[in-house]
Amino acid sequence: MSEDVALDIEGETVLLYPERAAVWRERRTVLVADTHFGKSALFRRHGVAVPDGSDELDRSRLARIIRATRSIRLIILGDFLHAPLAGDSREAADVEAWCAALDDVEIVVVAGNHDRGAPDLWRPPLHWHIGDLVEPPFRFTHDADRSVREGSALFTVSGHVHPVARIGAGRTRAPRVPVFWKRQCGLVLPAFGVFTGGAVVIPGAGEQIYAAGPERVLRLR
Amino acid sequence: MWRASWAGESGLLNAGTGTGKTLAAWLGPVLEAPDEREPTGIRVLWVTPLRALARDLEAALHEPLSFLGSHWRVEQRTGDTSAARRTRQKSRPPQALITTPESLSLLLTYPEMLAALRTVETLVVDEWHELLGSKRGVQLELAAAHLRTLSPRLRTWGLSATLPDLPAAMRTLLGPSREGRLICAPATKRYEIEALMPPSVVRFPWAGHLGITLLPEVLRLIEGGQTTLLFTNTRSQAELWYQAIVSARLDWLTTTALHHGSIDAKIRRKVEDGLKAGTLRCVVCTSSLDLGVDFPPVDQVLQIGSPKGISRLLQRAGRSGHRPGEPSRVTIVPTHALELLECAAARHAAARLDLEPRRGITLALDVLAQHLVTVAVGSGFDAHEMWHEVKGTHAFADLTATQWQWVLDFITRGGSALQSYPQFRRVTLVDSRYVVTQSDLARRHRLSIGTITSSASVAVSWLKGGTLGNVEEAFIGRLRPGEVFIFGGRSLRLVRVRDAVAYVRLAQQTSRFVPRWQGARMPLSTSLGRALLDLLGDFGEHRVIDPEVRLLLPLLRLQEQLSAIPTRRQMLTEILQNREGFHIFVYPFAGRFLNEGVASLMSLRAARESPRTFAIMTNDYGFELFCEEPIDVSEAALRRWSSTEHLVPDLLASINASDLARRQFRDIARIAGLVDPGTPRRGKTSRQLQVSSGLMFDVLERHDPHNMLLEQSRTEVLDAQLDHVQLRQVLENMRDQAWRIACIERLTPLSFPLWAARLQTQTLSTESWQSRVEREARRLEKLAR
Repeated sequence: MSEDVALDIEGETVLLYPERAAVWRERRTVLVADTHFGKSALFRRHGVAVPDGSDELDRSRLARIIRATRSIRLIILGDFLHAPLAGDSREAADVEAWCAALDDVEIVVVAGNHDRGAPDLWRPPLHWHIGDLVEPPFRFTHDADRSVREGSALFTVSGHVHPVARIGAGRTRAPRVPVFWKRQCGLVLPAFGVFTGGAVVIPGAGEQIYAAGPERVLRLR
Repeated sequence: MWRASWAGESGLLNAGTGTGKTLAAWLGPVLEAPDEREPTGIRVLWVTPLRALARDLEAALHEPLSFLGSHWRVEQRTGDTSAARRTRQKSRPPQALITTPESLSLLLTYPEMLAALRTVETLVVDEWHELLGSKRGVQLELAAAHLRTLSPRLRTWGLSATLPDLPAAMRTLLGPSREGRLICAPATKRYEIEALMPPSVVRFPWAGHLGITLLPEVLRLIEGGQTTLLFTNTRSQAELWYQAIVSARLDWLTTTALHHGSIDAKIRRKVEDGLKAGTLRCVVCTSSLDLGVDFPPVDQVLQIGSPKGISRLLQRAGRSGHRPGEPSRVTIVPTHALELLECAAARHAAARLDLEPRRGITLALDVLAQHLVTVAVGSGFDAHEMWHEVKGTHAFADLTATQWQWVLDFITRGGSALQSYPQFRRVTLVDSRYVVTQSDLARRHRLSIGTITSSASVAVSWLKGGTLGNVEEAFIGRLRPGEVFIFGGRSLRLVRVRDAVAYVRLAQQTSRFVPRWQGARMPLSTSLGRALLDLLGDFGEHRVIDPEVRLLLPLLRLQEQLSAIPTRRQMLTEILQNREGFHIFVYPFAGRFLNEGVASLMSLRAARESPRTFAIMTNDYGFELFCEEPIDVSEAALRRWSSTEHLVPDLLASINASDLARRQFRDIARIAGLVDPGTPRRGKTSRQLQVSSGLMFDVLERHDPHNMLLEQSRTEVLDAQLDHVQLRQVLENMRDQAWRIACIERLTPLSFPLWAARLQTQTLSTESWQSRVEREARRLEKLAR
């Protein structure tokens, strides 16, 4: 597990990993966004035959990166769950077991739009944070465009967009890769969940995109 | 035919347009039936491939009834039928119901309608040649088989235009083991195919160049006729030609109309009414007007660009000249020089009636899965009975027990028993019958039935309300609010996109954005490709009789002088080394898809011998293999790369290496219910269920690699798109040909379009591409003079 890109944000270091995760080195904190756990189960309940297994792989990948970087904290930038889960469902049990296995790691979820209904049925055993989480020089939020503008000098780390880019020569047939989207005063993380779609982003002036994976993080533009 | 029909026989009736096919099939059942005022159920079910035809058909079927003093009611049941009418049809079914394959499947999901279907005596499948060879045809085969179970006395009659293998077409409709009667009315129609001769012939084509150069001549032709149908090959081309015509003749704005499959049905209907009434001077259209009732005022048919295939060209020609004894005439408007050659070739092939064959699709498991869910929603089914019903169709005669079990697993458990699909619910087994019990699942399934042909689409609507039609989601996705695009013949400014509706308002300025629709491009047919090579051979032997070819002589001589002429006996390969790298151009004239198959096969084998990457570019005539480093190309190497040995394994390997199977999965995933159709105004649940077929493909490959739908997408690429049977034929032809390898210094008339098309996909800036292509085109044009 290796980082290929290190961003310097006002003296703090953010490392980008091909596993679609970032690490705030000084605070030993893993940052991910949009895990959308429970998405394939929701599909199956609605008669769409998606095989099980992608959540499980996502969770073990997340645990692996936490261990490999010796991190002590995980911040999930929203859309932790794709849809509310029932407390007695197998997905809920799986999430609980996963959290239990990481009991020495502080897990914080900054709630996103998909998490809105989550507390109604069952609330995963971790710290929920409604609204922005401010830890200068950073502000952690789900959707950078919708969050409150106070403290706009802060560097915003967010998700929600699921940024991807097309690579290669051809126009329409080019494969899409998830990307980190570095903007003037913020960083948009790629969706961590593998079973999620994406929106093609075109970087503006002064912005960069970095392709996440499969083996390395690569600066595209 | 009536005698056969009265004797309870089924069959296929083949006759040209305007010969009374419809009446022949209609009056048999009507005359035989007792006249009843209050029907107990439907007697005649009439299936038409396009719902746009249903209304005219209703009128045509209704007409003779009053003459006969019959009290039969004829009604439609299509996607356009109102909810009130649909409810009434449940309680008071008409004697005759006109429907489409999708709506027929939909009928099978309503338990209340099944009673009315048990009385059906005759199933008429109109324009069967249109459905044959498509998945909608398979959907109909399955629905017909189920109707036969519901109503064992059912007779099936297909109506079809001329096809090369009519007995096979009949067997596909009836099922292989069922006897049928084939009735052919001899074709007497004469066709005249000619080209609009351009004043200067030497214009060079390149991708994206739509050839509006002949606009003044086209305007003159329209002026000279009464009513003109201007056929184009794609919807985007139709939009561009419509714009060009009305900008050149502002006073024609009210008498010129646009008609294509993405324009709202109401608007299309208005255009059709205008055509019938003779108030329109010209309608720019696509295959949306290929079929259907005649428009008597139409006296002129123009075809923009390559006719692509003989059958389709004759069908379009048939839209003019309805008076008996009068020939049907079509004028081809070439958009580039080589299309002149296609015009002459089409004329020769049409004279020989060398029509394209159509074969029914087999083992489409996605359609089978959809059908099984359909029946499970309706009456439910017993696995054993259903197996026999399905095995009786042409499409699934070779279905294995393993495949059958997999499809049953797929709809009940999500996948094979070895895979994990927890909490999956769709079809359940209750008292040994497969049924769908939850109403939300039934509703979602009904929504997905109509989606065999459509890809995810977005409705285009005025801000104040009123729908203009629909465009593909991918196109709208690339536009930003405020940007202007052309649709339905208007300049529109995108205001916002919400819930699969793109809201627009009229824009003052014009735009270069025209929506592109996938799957709109047809490949050149093998029949036409053969005829083209014959013409080129005639040129080589100085036998030129066609005026189009005569006009092309400078170009052909240039090709001959710079390189050589490909013919049926001579396989031409051009090799060019320049600053960009190394180009190999090969010309099998097999149509775009087959050429792509040959190209990916050859590049795979070449790369296997010495590792390197090739860029592939194909068109209807040939393909280019491009690589940056030099490569040793001998005749022996070319023959090795194009050999027929290990064909299927190598093809599979090249499909896996490319994106082909993933692309093919788009349709399969939609039909099998793996991705939600892009229905306008979808609710929250449905939004949460959005997923792209590409993502689904990846997840399946990873977590359920033996999923038979993945296998099917590979098979479909192999069978349908690459058509490995035909591909083998192409390779065998190549093997038997003499190879002529020409080392060329500069681009030739044949290689130029391929080069230009590849360059376009590689260069980021449009300006530099355009200027390079134009420079090269001017050089060739100068040489040809």
